[in-house]
Amino acid sequence: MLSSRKKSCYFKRNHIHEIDYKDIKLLNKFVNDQGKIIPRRVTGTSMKMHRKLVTAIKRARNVALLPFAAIDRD
Amino acid sequence: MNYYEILYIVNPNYGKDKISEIIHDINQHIETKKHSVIEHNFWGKKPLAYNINKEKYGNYVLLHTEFNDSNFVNDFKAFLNLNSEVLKYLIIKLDGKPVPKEEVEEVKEKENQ
Repeated sequence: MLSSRKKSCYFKRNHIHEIDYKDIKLLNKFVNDQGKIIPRRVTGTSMKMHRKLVTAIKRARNVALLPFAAIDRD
Repeated sequence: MNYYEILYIVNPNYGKDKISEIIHDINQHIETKKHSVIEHNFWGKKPLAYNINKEKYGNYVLLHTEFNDSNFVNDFKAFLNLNSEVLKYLIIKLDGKPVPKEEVEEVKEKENQ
C-alpha cells in the first residue's frame, strides 16, 4: 500500500524535447476538465519539461486553442 | 535578423477569397518594408475555446517570417491591431529557421474530414 510506484516524465519516455503550443492533443493531457494545468506531482513531469509545458499551455490559451476556464453552460 | 511565428485569427464569416486577400495584404505590408515571408498558410476554421468579439469560430492563419529589424515587430503589432479583420494574434520569436511541420497538416486534414 505504502510503496507507490515512481511516476516517470511523459516527455522523457517519448523523447520529446520541445513542446509546440499548437499541439492541442498533447496539451489536453496535462489540463483537467476545468481547463486548469495539472500539477507536476500528479503527472510526474520533469521540472524542465513542466516549465516548457506551462508556457505552451499559456500560449495556446492566448489564441483560444485552450480555454482559460471551462465552465459547463449547458 | 530574427525569425518569428505569428498565429492570427480572422473573422469566421469570411470566405476563402477574402482570407487570401487578407493574406496578400499582410504579405505586401511585410515585403514593402523589405522583410521576408517564409510561409503563410491558412490553417482552417476552428471552434474557439472562448468567445472573441462574440464569435464562436475563427479562421486560423499561420505565418512564418524573417524580420531584418526587431523594431518592425512593434510596427507589425500596430498594423494587426488596426486591422479590424484580425480578432486576435500571437507573435513568438523563434530560435532558428522554422521547418515546415507535417504534424500541423495532419491536424488540419483530420479537422476537414
